[in-house]
Amino acid sequence: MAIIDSFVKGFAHFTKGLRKASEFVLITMTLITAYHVIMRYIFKAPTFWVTEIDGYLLVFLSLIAMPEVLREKRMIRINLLLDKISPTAQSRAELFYLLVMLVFCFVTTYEGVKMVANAYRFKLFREGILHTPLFIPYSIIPVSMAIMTMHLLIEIREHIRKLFYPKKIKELFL
Amino acid sequence: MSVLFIGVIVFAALIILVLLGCPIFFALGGIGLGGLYIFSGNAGIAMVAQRMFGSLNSFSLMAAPLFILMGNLIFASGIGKDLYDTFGKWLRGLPGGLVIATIIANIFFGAMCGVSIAAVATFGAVAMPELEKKGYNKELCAGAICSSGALSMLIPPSLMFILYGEVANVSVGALFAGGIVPGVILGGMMALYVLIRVIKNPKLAPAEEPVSWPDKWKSLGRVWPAIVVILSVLVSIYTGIATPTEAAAIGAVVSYLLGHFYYRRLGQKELKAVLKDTALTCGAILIMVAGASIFTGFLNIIGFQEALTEKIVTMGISGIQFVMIMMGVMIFLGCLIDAASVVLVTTPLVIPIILSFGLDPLWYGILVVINTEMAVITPPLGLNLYTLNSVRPELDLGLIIKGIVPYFFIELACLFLFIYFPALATWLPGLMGK
Repeated sequence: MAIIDSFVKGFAHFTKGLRKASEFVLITMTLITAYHVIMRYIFKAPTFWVTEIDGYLLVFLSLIAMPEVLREKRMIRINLLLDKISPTAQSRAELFYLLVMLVFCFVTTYEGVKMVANAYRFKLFREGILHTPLFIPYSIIPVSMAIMTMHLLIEIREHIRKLFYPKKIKELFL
Repeated sequence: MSVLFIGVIVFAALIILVLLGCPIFFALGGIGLGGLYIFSGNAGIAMVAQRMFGSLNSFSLMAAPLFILMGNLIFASGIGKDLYDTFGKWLRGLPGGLVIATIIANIFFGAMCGVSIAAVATFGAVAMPELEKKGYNKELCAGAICSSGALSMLIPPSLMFILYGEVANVSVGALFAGGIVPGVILGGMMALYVLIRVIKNPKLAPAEEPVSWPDKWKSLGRVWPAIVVILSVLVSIYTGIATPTEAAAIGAVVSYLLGHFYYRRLGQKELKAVLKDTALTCGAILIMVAGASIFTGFLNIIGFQEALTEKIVTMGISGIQFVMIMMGVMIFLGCLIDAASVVLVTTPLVIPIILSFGLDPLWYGILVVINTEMAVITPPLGLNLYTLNSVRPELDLGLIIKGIVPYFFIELACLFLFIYFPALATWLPGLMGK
């Protein structure tokens, strides 16, 4: 049990680190895009790589901070009905949709791995000046979804503990 | 089982999942994934990862995080307070002058920041305490702050236009140009309403001494940074120097430089908070684009869009009638679901119908965004109401809701105006396109 708890703590630090990485990506996107405009209009030396890199950074920014978005309750959701039901029913409803989310993330991780493997096996490249091997940007999808799957497993574990062992939790904390 | 019936079941499942509190991205993605598996088997689910990557790997969508960053930098730099102070000095002699100043300041704030809750948080914290202290009617002021805060969604740079442009395949630059006239007209209608109401009932706002002319001119010195930010974005887009995405990056850099060096309010701590907030907001909004893409991919596979278009076109209703029905549906949905989700889910379904009626998707996009203005001020979900309530907890939520009622009808009137006079919305994008 102690091992799992310390893993959960470590994982929380890891996802916080990913959020910080997404902040860094945000700064990078802003600066390279501004640099792109300056180079094109002031120095007449367009940078062809910026558009392509920006696209990959956007995928990274959108996905990698997802566990933190969920933890900080920033994911867009409507609690209208949820707030009106009893706490137990609320917890059951939450468990239900956490399972829906888990299935989605697991399947997307699996399909993402297949997509990366195919891109690697068939040597798929992005047309353009960088000639990027597509398995590299594609891998953002399975990696981020695998992290999200792990995060959801932790959340589901917490929910099950609260739902089915509430007394034990009370004993531990009170 | 007909395709339309399947569509109805799918939408019912989506609404149930959303009302159960499931994050909207997962509701869209989960239902899309399930549907793809049922109707196309393994081949269907194989496209999920590809669709996620394809929908997010978009240069035009990149304008969204950069404009959100710019908006958050503007919010943190405190430009809103200077705008309010300046317009307050210029309009103090008018009946209800400070409320009108708040509305006009919101128009300018909206031209720098495309996030309506940032506008409400700014003016709720800056203008509301002063208006209350001076004895202005609380309902009138709360309504003005909530509803004029929503102008940020309509006046470019607007996040809603970026999302609409992405899913409807309409130029974001043209949509931005199309938002200027409705934004100014709507702001003008709100200001006019305040003026007429205060002239009729002077007790709503105490008369104030006008400010001297030297003071008025002096106050303009504090708003030039706002003009610089607005011009850096709009001029770079409409002179062809930059695309909306590039203009967003320039705007974010300029906003940071002004906030750090001129206002001296954007230190390392503030920048860290801005970056954290922006990263989380972007994660929450952009992922919905991927969810909507999976969901509409599923509807495409079963041929729902085609079936819906055929059904509506053969019903014998006119294009305008269809638009009116859609606006009604969106007002209803806006009460239950957040504005971005409404735009992302309904747009891919409606655009084929709009095109088959021979209507302009640019005009429809402008109507959609005017409509979403109402979504953020209508309970039970109106985000602006709760934002004002959170920055001024002493204001009763019931009072705020009562305050927005007249403004809701002003927005409805504005919506009708643009439905019946499409040229009002489309002439400026047409002019800039030439």
